[in-house]
Parts: sequence; C-alpha cells; structure tokens
Amino acid sequence: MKAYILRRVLSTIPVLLVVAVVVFFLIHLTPGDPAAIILGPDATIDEINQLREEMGLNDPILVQFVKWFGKILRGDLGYSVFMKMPVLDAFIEKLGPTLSLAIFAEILAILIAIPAGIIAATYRGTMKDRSIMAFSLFGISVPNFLLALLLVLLFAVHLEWFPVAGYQPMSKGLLNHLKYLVLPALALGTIQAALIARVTRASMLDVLNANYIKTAHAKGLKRTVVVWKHALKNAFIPILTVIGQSFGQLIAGAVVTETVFNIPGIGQLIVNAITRRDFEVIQGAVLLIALSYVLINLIVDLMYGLFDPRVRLTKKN
Amino acid sequence: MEAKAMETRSIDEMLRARRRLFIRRFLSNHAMIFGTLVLIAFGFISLFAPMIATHDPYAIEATARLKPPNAEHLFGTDKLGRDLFSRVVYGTRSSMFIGLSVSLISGLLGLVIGLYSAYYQSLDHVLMRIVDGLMAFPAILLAIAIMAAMGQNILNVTLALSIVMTPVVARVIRSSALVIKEQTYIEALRALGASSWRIIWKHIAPNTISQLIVQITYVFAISILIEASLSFLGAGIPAPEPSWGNIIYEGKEVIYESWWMTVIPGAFIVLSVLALNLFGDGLRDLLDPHAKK
Repeated sequence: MKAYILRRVLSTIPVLLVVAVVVFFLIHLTPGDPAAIILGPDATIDEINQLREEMGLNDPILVQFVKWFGKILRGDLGYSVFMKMPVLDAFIEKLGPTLSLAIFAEILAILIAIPAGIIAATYRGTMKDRSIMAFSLFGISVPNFLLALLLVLLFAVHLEWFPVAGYQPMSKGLLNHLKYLVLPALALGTIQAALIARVTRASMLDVLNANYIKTAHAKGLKRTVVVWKHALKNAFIPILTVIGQSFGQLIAGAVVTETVFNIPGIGQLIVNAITRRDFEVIQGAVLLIALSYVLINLIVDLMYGLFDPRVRLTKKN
Repeated sequence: MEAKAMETRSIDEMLRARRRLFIRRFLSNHAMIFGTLVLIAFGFISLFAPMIATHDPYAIEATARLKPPNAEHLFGTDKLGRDLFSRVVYGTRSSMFIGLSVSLISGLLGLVIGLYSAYYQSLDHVLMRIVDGLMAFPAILLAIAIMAAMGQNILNVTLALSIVMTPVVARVIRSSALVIKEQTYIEALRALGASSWRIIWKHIAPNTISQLIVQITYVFAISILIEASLSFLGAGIPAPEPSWGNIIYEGKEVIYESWWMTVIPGAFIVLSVLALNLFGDGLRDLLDPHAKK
C-alpha cells in the first residue's frame, strides 16, 4: 500500500510541472509589456526599462521561468495592482463561498444521482429507466448558467420561494446560509447529477450481471440487500472516479453559476479580473484551481486502494 | 481470373448487405433521427443566415426596445431594439462555426497525438504527461485564461477551445490504438517489414476512425456549451457580434420583464447540444453494436 501511495504521489509531479509551464506561457502570451501596463501611459521609456530590469523581464525566458516557479513554490502568486493585495490573499478571501456552493451542490448531486442510477439499472429498459436516462441526457445538454437563470425565473421571481440572488455567510445562521445557496446548488448539482447517474447506471449494470449477484439472489437474500450492499460496493470505483472529477468541474462550474447569483466567490474574482484585464489574478486563480483539481484526483485515486484491494496489490500496468 | 471476379463480387455483396443493415439500424433509432434532423436544420440556418434573418442583426431601433415576440419581430427585440430572431440566427452561425472548427482541429491533432503516443512508447511518456497537465485544468477555466491572454474574437475562441479539447480526443484515440497495436496482424505486418508510417496510417488509424467520429460529435457539443458559457461571462465572442451566450448575458439584467432574451437563445443551445448528444450516442451504437449490449 505504501508503494502504491508513493508511486501515485510521485506521478503528480510531472503533471504539476506541466500545469506550471502552461500558466507561465499564458502569462507570456498576454499582449503588451507588463511594465508599461503597470506604470500607465505617462511613463517614460527609461522608467519602463528600469521596471523591466527590476521585474526580471530582460532575463532569458528559462531564467524567468525558474524564478517564477521558485516564487510559486513559496506561495507567492503575484500581486494584483487593481485589488492592492497579493493574489493568494484575494483567492483565499473568496474561497469560502465557492467551496460552500461546490460542496452543497456535490451533496445534492450524489443524493439525486446514485439512487437514480441504481433504480435505472435495476429496472433496466422500463419506463423508470427511460425517464431517468432522458432526464440525465437533458441534464448534460443544459449549460449551468442557463439552468440557473431558469430556476431564478421559476422559483425566485414567480413563486418567490427563494431569494433571487445574494449570499449569506455561515456566521449569519446555517438556515439563512442554505436558503441563499439552494438555487445555485440546484443549478450546479443537477448537471453533475446527470453525469454521475449515467456512470452509476452503467457501472451497476456491469456488476448486476455478475455470477456472484445471481448467487446472492439464489441464496434468497433480499433484493435491496443484494443491490445496495453486494452490488453497489463493487460498482463503486467508477462512481467514485466520476464524483472526484465532477468535484473539480463543480469548482469550475461554480465560477459561472456565481455570476448569475452575485455570490462573492472565486467566480466573481475571475469575472471581475476579466473585465479589468487583471491577468495576475486570472492566472493565479486558474493555477490554484488546477492544483486543487490534481489534488482531488490524487485523493480519489488513493481512496481506490481502500475500496479495492486489487488496486494496491497489483504492480503498475 | 474468374475466381478473383467472384471474390470481389461477394465482397461487394457483403459490403452492400452491411450498408443495408447500417441503414436499417439507423432508421430504427428514432432518437438519432431526431438528432440528425435538428443538426441538418441548424446547418441550414448557419449556411443561409443572411437569407433567413428578417432584419439586420446589428440595426438599432430605439422605438422598439424590449418588445415581446410579435409578428414583426418573431423572437421580440433586445435592449437596443435589435431583432432577436435575426441575432439568434446569426448566433447559430457563430456556434456552428466554432463547434465544427474545434471538432475538426482537435479531432485531427488528437488523432495524430493519440496514434503516435500509442505507437512509440518513448513519445508516450512525454505526450501523455502534457495531456495530463492540460487536462488538469477545468476546460472552461483554461479557455478563460487563454482568452484573457490572447484577446477576444471568434478565432481565439476557436483556438482556445481546440487547445482544451485536443487532449480529450488524444486520450481516447491512444487507448483504442493501444488495443489495436497488440493485435496479431500488426505484429505480422511488422515481421513483414512494413514501415511504421504505413502501420500507423494504413492499419491502425482506419480502425480508430469510428471512435474518432463519435468523440468529435461530443467535442462539438461541449464546444457549444463552453463557448456559450464564455460568452455569458463576457470572455467569449465580444459584443455586438451575436452569439447565443452573449444574448443571454445581455438578457440577464432584464430577465424579470424580458424572459424571451433568456429562454429563446437558451432553447437553441439546449436543442443543439441535445441533438449532438443523441446523434453521438446513436452513432456509437451503430458503429459498435457491442457497446449497447
């Protein structure tokens, strides 16, 4: 097991390196001279040159990369001139609402998707199966910002059950916090639910045809015990994978959903940065989200070892 | 000579029978027919947008602001009094253009990368680490970052989405090429002294094509979704050029009184993506009958 963990952790290093290279080159694709942008239109050429020297922009690109990478490793993601604070601080400040939304949406998605996928698989080919699959096909065809707007139109504007937009932190009471999060989480979670339900169904179908399930039925075990205990446990690895991947997507999706509901999270940070052309913030945020995505996948992979002894026992390939 | 002629005839017959079976299976898949028809309709709208549009999509009419759908303006008008029907028609053109170009570019690049990394193991390590790295970015965020760096226009949207989608295609092609590479006939070809180029392009590539086509339809669908989200965030196709996403973005402020600015372009997005998904699922079942079982 230790060897498995070590191998998996080491395998993330090249991925992280590629992530860093991509973000670094994105910075260099950015049009315009960063020094000139910071100093504004009134700066003289000498002043720009001096700042270029100070910022290390005259160094060879490889030197620049190594210096930049060193800074990243020390947690220095740059400074937002517009927000007058380090990018990392700005990110952490906005992380709470996004995480809250993503976690709530993920819980909703799992609560909807796993039972739906299991029902679809056990009642394969029936009306129940077909309607669940039709719903899930619809779910993966709707962009989440559109679903969010439609939910606002129905539940906030017409029925007035939930607030139209806004955010209340957890410190103002859990119920209040959740009331504001229901619609955004529903918009975000439904689409993930569609994805997870499809995988759950496929994975369950594979397992339900296995001989040991037939044996379990033949032994006279209750259907619910066979399905929920024997089958689900073995069908769980693909489901876990898609849940892990979906959490990464949820964070990205939250960025879009937040703008619909004016939630002060990472999404708002990024969208404001786009309109202000605050590249440091965009790149820093994208780098951090990619990092968390890699970490989540790592954790999911390590969890396979817990669920499936074959994973930790077999050698690579 | 005669034996050869008979052989070709029987192969011809076999191919014809296979084609008939293919057509019969296609006709029995109603969902796929629906998808195909919708896609043909969208293709038609994109090609003949100037003839279908009833107004100039950029013409501002101050007296006709935010009018609900009526006989003069089929889909109503927007905040500037522009005809929404014409804007949605031209938006269809943008979305189809982006979807098609991204599918073709990432399909081609993904095919090449997938095939070569499956064939050459040393290349595989390098290429797949790059692919892993690119796939570590959630698609929409990478697209946002690229757009922010390169500037907003329709070609950059296409380029950004192609960068995002190529790794996905490469992964699928690689895994299917890896299986084919292990087949005995490939080993036989190698023993006969066939060149790598010949094995890759004449013998492995044709066997990955069905996978590629299916994957391309999904890339098409995802590109439309991401483009719409980008434009909705103000990082995609810039105003005043119409796109489904930026029409919805403009409609967001007036959603309480002007539902049509959200619902109508939204319905176009859902319909096109749904059609592509149905078409792709149908194609997958047609090309690989085992998948359905």
